[in-house]
Amino acid sequence: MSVGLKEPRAGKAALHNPDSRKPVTRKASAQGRQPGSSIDVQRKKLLVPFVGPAFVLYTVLFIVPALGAVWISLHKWAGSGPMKFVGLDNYGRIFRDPLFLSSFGNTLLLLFVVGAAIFILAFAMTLVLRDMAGKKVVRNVIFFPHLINALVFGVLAGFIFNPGGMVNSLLAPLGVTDPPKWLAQDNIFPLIMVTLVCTTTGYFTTILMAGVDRIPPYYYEDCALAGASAFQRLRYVILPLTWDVFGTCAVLWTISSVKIFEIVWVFGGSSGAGVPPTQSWTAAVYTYVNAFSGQSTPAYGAATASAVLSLALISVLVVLLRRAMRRDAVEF
Amino acid sequence: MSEYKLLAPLTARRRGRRGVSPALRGERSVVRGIGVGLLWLVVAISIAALVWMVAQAFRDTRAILDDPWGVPASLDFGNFVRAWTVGDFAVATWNSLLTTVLSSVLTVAIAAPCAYYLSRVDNRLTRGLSLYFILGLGIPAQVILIPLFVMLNKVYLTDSIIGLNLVYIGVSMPFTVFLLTAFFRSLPLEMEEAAALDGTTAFGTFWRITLPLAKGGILTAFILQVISHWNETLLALTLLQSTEKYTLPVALISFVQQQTYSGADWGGLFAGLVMVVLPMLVIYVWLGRRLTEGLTLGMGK
Amino acid sequence: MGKTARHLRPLAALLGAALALSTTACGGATDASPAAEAVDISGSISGQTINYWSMWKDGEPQQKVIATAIADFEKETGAKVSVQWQGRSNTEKLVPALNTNNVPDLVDGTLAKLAPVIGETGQASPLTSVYAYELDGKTVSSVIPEKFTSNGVFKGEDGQPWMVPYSISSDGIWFDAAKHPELKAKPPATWDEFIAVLDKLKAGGQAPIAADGDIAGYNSTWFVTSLLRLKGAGSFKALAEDKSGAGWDDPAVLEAAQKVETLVKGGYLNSGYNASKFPAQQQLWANGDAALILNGSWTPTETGSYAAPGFEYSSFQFPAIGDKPASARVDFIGFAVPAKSKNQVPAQRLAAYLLGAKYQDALGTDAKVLPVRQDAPVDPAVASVKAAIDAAPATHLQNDGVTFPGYTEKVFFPRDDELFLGKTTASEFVAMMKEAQIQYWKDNG
Repeated sequence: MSVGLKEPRAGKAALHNPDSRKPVTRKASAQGRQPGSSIDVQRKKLLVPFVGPAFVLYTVLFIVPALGAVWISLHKWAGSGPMKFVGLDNYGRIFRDPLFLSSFGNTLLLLFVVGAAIFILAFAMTLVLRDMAGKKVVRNVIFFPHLINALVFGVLAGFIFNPGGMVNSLLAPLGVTDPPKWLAQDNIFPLIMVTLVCTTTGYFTTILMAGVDRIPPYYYEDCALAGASAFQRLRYVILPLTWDVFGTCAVLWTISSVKIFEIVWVFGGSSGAGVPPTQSWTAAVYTYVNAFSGQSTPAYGAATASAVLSLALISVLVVLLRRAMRRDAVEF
Repeated sequence: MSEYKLLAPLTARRRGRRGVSPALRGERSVVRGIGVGLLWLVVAISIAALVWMVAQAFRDTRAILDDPWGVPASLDFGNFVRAWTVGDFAVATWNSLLTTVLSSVLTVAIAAPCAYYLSRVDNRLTRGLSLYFILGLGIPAQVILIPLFVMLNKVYLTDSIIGLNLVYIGVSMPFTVFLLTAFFRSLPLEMEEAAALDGTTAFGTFWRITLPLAKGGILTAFILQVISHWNETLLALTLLQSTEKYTLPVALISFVQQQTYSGADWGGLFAGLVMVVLPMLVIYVWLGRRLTEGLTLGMGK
Repeated sequence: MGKTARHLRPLAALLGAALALSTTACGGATDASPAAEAVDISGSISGQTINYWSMWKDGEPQQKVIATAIADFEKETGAKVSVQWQGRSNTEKLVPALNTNNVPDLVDGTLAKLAPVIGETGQASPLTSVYAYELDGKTVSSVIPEKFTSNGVFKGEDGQPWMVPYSISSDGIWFDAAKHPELKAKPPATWDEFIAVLDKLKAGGQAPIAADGDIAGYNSTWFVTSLLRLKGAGSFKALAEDKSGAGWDDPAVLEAAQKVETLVKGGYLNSGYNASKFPAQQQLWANGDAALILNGSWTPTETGSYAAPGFEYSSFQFPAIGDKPASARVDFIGFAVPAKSKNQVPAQRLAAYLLGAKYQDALGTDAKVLPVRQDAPVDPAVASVKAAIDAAPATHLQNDGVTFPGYTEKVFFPRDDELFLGKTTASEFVAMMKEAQIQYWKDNG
């Protein structure tokens, strides 16, 4: 039951800043020794019923197993049977394992190269789509690949890129007699990168489009009046005003790139039954192979250690990224 | 002012296709023309790829291998029937449907109040909690698989759709809370303040004022969860053991594996792929507009 | 601060409850496995149940045979069998289940997959009683050829066998006897004859060998079998076990690698083999675009649905190099019973039951695979493989049974692929393997 404050409090009304996005709790308590407006007090009481269920489910089903995994990473374990405590041995070994380093390198490649490609393409598409006829159709079509299960791509990859496959049969009449070896082990990872660009660009384009759409038109008019070129317009108007959106997308992409697994797994190996070539491994694949490859005795300690390690490294990256992308929000 | 900002894009769009400043209309350049052309090419190829995949599902293995570009001779649904029965796709589709809808609804129902609280109350605790939830975004499923299985088994929730649902809800918390927090923050405070002045309780404000305003964002979060749960493979593969509880991705993987060992059935495989992709297509065509709109509003600030 | 603390309290309580719940869950995971002992399985099992996780999917030919066997078993003994036709991922599901008491009573799979999961971790029951069980007057151990079990592949740490095979698979170099009757009449017996055959095929305009270069397991067969021909069964495992890596300096090892190099450099492999996705090359072979393929005994079944019309499956064994008697590759598919299972007796009875003549015959003629019993008939397509197995003095497993954690996928396969796909020479391969192996044992010793 509320603290019986039915009449408006004079102090509270004066605090309103119409453009403020931050809740006014702090300012309220700065005003003398008031404990905050009644709604804030009530709100705080809602902590347990509102946040509680989410907190409990998340902790029990996610954080606790993760902590369990950290504990496992300090042992040598084959998935069942006796566990042998080895302390930080697994971590040291993984740091020295060139395969882990190359897998993590691949992950970084995905993060930066594919990320850059995605965002450059997304920005470019956003600009082209901005006043294009039929932009809704185009936007919907390019968004769609994001929704498709990775296994589909894996199965189709063989069909399309095999030596006798569709791409080569398309190139043959064009006179290309010796097409590149699309699925050679060294080329699989670049192919995966291209596939990722194709499937993810639509998703981020959609988000960026809306960010760009919110820019009021009078900015463009000012640009035209000032005689700005398209590039200058991009640099001085569009980028700063969509920086927030871009920042969020960057963080999302960073985090999801660490987890990329299924597409790599089905691209190499017989659509999920075999192990892909080591040149294409990412950090998540490394973790999985150590635990579930089926070719040799599992090493869960090493697998969880590698997962914890990549998580730690990526967290550092995210923090640095947020710091680098932090700018004052431009109000418009 | 804030309502204006919220509605500005919509009004702009209502101005029709030419909703662009007169200063920019008529700006034509070669580069732009090429860009537009390329985009339409991409669209054409994507649609063609989809049509091709569906077409192959009507042909048999030998025909597909001999001539991948060919068109089906007849609308023979045999492949679909085979995938449906032999591949256990019928049961799997039902399980996937049940799991996806249930877990997505519950995920959003549990995450929304949490996100609302975190977006409205700003102190050390909520900032810490927000960070705590975001932390989960970086943890891949492989890490938690075995401990999760052991825990669930203690409470007899392995090999159960209920257990799978609970797990999906738990692992979806980070992203949904993150998305909805950003979204709720973008909603104007004025109406809630006004309601408070009128004497509504905090809960009442949430229920009667904020939630209706947030319909778009909540729908978006729901759709995103549907998509991710429909395609989720690893957890389902490990936590489900009986074939009659398999979800669609698991059924698809065993179907693919089976093809490899006991004679390839590319026609059936394509039929299976179509069955996995089709629901996504339907949902997308039906709710896609809401999805992209809500996504953008949520990410906007 | 007071307010925050007040709000922290209910959260803390929730957190505490959550942790308590989960620690009790985790705590139970490490209880010791029950001491596994052989049990007497000859009594009545009427009314008991068996939970069986099968590696076969519904509709596969082997599944049909096993389903018949199960139906007969239920009628005969009165026990009840509940089967999950899970497909090949049944072993993956087994791993987490072994940490709990929710284990199936019977599971089957290949030796290669069951060993790391259940055999070597001590999680399987000893099946001595199964081997001693009598079917139609003969004990199970007497119908399984001696050479399969003599090298102790099924023996766990306690010296007891933990797996009983019901079907075997092997490999061979397959071809279409309709197109190449000369290979059926007189298959190449030595390596030099083999190269001569390849040269003739190449001159005739047909790609001699098809190979799906993206399957590391298939690629490695060439090197491993060459080495085993030169040094006998078990030599690759000994080579991999050597922590000093000195085994790689042996000239025989280099010779084996050079044989593979000859195939690659000689242009005998179908073009595009190193840039294709499984099963494209296999399909090309089945269509007649290539003449030979080194593949398993499952090839007739696996490629049957897209083979060219009139294809007649036949095979010959990997040729001999040097004069050591050729060992045959035999991989096993069989049953194992988790030690934690509460229904040991009926499960072991069912395992023994499938070794009955009726079902072994059915595996051979209906499912067209190789049954483990020597006296069972086989399909004509795999007859040559069976003959070779029967004649071989010793047998070896895929990769000679090397299962050290991470060795095959991280040390051996990547380098062997480079050799087979033409990126390194034989001497480079040997040098790299030696170095990598030394590092492996340093890290994992």
